[in-house]
Amino acid sequence: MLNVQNLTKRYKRGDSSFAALDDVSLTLGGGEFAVISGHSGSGKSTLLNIIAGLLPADSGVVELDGKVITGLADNEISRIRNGQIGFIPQGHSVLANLTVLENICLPRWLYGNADGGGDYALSLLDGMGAANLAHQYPAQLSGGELRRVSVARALLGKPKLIIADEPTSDLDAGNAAAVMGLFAAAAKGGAAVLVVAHSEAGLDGVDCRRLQMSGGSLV
Amino acid sequence: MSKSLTLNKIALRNITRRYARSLFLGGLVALLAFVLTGGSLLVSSLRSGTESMAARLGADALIVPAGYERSAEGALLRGEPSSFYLEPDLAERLSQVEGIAQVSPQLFIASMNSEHCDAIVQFIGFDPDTDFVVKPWLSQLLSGGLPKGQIVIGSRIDGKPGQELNFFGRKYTVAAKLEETGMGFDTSVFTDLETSRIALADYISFGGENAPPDADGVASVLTVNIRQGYDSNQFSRNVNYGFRKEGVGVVFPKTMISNVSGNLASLIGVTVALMVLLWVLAAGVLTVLFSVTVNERKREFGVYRALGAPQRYLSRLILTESLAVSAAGAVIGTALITLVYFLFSDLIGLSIDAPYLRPAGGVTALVITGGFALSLVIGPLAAAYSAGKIGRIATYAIMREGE
Ligand SMILES: Nc1ncnc2c1ncn2[C@@H]1O[C@H](COP(=O)(O)OP(=O)(O)OP(=O)(O)O)[C@@H](O)[C@H]1O
Ligand SMILES: [Mg+2]
Repeated sequence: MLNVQNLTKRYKRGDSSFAALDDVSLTLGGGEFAVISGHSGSGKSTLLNIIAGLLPADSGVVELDGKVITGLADNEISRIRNGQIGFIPQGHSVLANLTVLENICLPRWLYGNADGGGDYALSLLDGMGAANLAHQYPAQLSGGELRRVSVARALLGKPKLIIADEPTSDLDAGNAAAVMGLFAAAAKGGAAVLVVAHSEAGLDGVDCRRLQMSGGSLV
Repeated sequence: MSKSLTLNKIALRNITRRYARSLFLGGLVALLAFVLTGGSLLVSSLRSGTESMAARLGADALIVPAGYERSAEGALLRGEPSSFYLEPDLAERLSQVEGIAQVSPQLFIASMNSEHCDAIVQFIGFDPDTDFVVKPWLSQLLSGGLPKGQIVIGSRIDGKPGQELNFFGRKYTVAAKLEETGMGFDTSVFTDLETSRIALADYISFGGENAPPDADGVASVLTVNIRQGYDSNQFSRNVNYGFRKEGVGVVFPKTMISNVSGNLASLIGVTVALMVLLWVLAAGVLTVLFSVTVNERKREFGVYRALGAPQRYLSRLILTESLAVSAAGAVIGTALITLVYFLFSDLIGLSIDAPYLRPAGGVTALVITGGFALSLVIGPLAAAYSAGKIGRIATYAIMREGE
């Protein structure tokens, strides 16, 4: 499903440059759930953002479902990210001016799809025990609830690939376990899931492949 | 069920959910629209006032008693009533001055206080046989000419055709009412010379200020057309030297008008320069404001990127938001100034010491539309810089651990 080959990314820092990603390769099949951990600054976010097509790589290739997606024009890669990748960026990512339900349906509306998949969105919320939040604005939600909203939003389009950058970083153990459980379930449903997690929070007893990142390399 | 949110609806939501910010930006545009449209309306009203005056002061020169040059100007420009006279035989001799092609006497009488007069006006008598100043525009009003003993009243005078108005204790029938001229004629009453001499006799009998001993043959000014090619300075000298003893003065309405329009030209220049400056300033301030707010919202825009919005979606979102805010401001600002302009036009005209006349409806509409359009485009123009940069900024912001 996901095939990453020899990704390299260098950042400039002052006059010198250093490799944030150094020849990273990774394959992930449909139904596989992989968790990357590693020290801060080891290059985890850089890797995920390149896979999601937000950041260009210096060299290397990202293949999704057999199609090379590195080096595409913004329009093309954006459409692929919208339709085939469920991307949960690091930090908060629920839009304050839209209700919970609108946040979840937004990816479909972005491409003029009048059917935002509202029924499915509601059933996703329901499955998370958050159906009552559908018409709330995010300002009224807790951190754990917000995180579930962003997960539901990533799941809405039934993407082939789900990428989440530290989705449990600011959650308590119970909420972290709940969120990781959602990813595990999505993997069971056939998606390839790649999650970055700083800690072990929520991973107790979760069946997943563990990867370690250090100094720009997967070890 | 949640209704589908198009880009336009999202823009609207962003505006209404952040109303303080939107009110501030919209208010700025409204202020701009108000000032721009107001300034343009003022300029065009002054211009049409001057044009109307030039069209109605069709004499090359006015001969008046010495010392009354300014009174004559005040009466014509601003409708300040005054009474002054040339002796009958003086008028007769003046009309023989070298250089004159056409001459016609007029009699000016200032109305008296309420007891004897229905309105404060400048009473003007013209000689239907020789007149070349009043009749050209009067004939558009009264094709058969002004019946003897009747009056034509200025637009600001209360009264309708057919009604009778009292001046100096005598009733006069209103034959017609002038349309607005923006000058002294708006508070003037016109009648034939003979009738005006009857009015003058009444004025004398009531002990009117600055009255001549006798109304017979009296005139206040001689309207003069100078012979084609004759030097107007030479004409002026002929009058001044030839009648040094008697004391007469010459007023050139065209100089008067060109003085007014000269002052007006600089006033218009300053106004236009200020408006351009204001527009540029507003565009600059708005550019900075949009850039600051877009920078504040870069994480928000980054989320759209993460969800698969292409860069041009964000540019369109920003331009749409700025256009909507700008449109609301422009509508409110232009509507307000239009209201003020039509409600207080008379007051504005009176407080300005220059011919002021509301231009034709088409011109007014054009000016208002122009002010509206200039205010409308300023939002998207000022946001264009931010809209162009947002794709990169937003992508970068979502990759960083933003809050
Ligand atoms: N735009 C950039 N310019 C320069 N250096 C950058 C840039 N983005 C990231 N870096 C650096 O690259 C390295 C990897 O960053 P990255 O965000 O991928 O780390 P991370 O593993 O996600 O860290 P964290 O766990 O703190 O989120 C870090 O040293 C970071 O400072
Ligand atoms: Mg990171």
